[in-house]
Amino acid sequence: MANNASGAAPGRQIAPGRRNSLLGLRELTLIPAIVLAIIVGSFASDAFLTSDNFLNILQQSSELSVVVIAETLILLAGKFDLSLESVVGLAPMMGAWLIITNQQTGGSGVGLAWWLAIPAVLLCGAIVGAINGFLIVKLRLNAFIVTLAMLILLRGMQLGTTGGKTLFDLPDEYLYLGSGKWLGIPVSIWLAAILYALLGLFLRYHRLGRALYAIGGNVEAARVAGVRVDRVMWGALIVAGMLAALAGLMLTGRIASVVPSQGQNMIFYVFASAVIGGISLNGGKGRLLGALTGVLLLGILQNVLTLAEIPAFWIDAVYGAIILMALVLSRVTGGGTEEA
Amino acid sequence: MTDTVRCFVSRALPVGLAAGMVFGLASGPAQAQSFTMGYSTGFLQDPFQVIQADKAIAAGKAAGLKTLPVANAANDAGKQITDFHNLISEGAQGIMLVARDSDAIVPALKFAETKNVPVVAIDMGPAGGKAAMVVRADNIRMGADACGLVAKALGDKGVVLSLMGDQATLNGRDRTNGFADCMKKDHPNIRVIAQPTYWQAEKATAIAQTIVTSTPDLGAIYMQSDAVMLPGVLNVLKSAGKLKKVGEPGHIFTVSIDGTPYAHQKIREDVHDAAVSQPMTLYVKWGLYYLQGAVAGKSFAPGPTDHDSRIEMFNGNPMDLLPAPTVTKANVDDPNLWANGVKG
Repeated sequence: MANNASGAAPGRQIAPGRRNSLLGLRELTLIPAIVLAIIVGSFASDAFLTSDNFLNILQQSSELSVVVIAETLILLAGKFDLSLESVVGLAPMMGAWLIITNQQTGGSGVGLAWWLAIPAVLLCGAIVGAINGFLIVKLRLNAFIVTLAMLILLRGMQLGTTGGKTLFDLPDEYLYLGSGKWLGIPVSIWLAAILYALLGLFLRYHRLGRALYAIGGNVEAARVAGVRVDRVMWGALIVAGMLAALAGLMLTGRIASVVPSQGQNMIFYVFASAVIGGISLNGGKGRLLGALTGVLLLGILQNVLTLAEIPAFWIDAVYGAIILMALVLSRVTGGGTEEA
Repeated sequence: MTDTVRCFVSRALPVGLAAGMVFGLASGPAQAQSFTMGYSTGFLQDPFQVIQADKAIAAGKAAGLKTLPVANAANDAGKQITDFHNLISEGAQGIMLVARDSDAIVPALKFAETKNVPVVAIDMGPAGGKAAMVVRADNIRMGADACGLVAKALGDKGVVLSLMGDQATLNGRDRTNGFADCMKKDHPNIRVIAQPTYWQAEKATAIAQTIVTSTPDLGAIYMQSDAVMLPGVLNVLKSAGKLKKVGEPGHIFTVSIDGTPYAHQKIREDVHDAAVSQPMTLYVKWGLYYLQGAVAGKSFAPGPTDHDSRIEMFNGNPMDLLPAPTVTKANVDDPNLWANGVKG
């Protein structure tokens, strides 16, 4: 257990981050961009300003937002995890593979029950996080390279296990997190909202949450202050892996299948959301609420671009240009330094 | 990164110029009576490839050929070259090929040429080297067939969502252009909402969800790959309360390409209208036909064929673009459809 000093040290580490913000609202600097996107969207299509459409945006952003939480935990501590996107594919694939009995359609033949498969999915994420932790924390390897190699390895394992097949015919319970509804609102939205509330409070007020900021701000200072750096870092990687696995399960529920490319390229949008939302790539700075605004901005943009029927060949170019503009806008309005 | 649907999506390749190339047409029967046939495949994990290899060997045996065991490169382009050497030293006089990689297979083809062993490539055209024939599905026509089905279902007016694959792949482009050109030319009253999905299920699902909820007059959805798009699209229709059975009022017409076992299942359940299927039976039938001809010293010229297709030049080799069968409730149990070879 950390001693009393650990409570004070993280407080000192976060101070520069606060000073950079305008009126202490650094995490709200994307609000003008979001408002602008909503105004443009309302002109682009009559269907934009409907509650159904906003639920669509939230549901389609829910998996990304959960992976962004996972990445934020690691970024705050000054590390990277690129392999989260392959966990989004691999973990639900493992679960589905264990469930499906027909080997010809890509199953394992095990026929595992769904209520065992779901913990197996989360376990898969935790194991990947633990291996990353071993390589990064114990062997002191560079997090960027370790998780890049892990990304390729896991993607390959996913392809190898199923031979490039799409897995479907999954039990409804297994798909529930991505397709069920509570009070008319998709479960995945509830889940993402609850996770943001819980982990937002955790990062702000809990000793371990503060410790992540402390490690990202200055590892040695955190160590001197009594933070168990290795243990906290390892824990963050494991929790991040489990969150990515959960996101994968939500995604699988929404698309009613597991495809070999599931999660592919997602990590770009994870980083884009986190960074335009004010999470520093150098660690120690940023709030979960800010990262959430980043996710919402990207989600709204994707929706507007679809509704506006931008010529298909140009949609990515437009998307990339808008992300860059959002980055500039958040710098201008927030005055924060995005040095990374 | 890996291709999403490897077996269905060939790599994008520049199309060779057909102009100026003259091929001598052999006359007479010239089908080799008996020889030793090799079968080299880049992968054998998915049901499509397994069934195709089984059917090819069976067809070879039925034609009185001696067949060697299937050489499986297990996703390793290098091993496929070794496989070629092994097949030829085992006595193969003609090889049927499903390439792992259209570029990496070129040295294998060159080696076979030096040994005078003709090769017929199935499904994927090699980037170079000599193949007696490339047998592929006509993906432009697949798109045009889907267009015809949509136009008929909509009564020539309304809105259709076209979920495209990846425009950087040959099959993706052909499936888009075949559909779009037919719509523009023959059915100008149908509004096409075209959206790229890069063969990604989540992208296709998100786009379908957005368009389905925002377009009340949406009448049809065209999917360029049922393997990656159909489960998500049906899930979207279900949660939007718009999944009506075929023939019920308010039903949104759906047509896809690939014809996977899942698509068949949904056609049988009356929730999916039609799938344009990969013509596996024709691949095997005509692949064997061309191989027999090539072993007997025949070569093949560009132009229309006698079996409802046309031969074009592709990277210096002739390519027979076969028509693809359309699967509906009426013929979903046809044993010639590849998905029906998958054991449940």
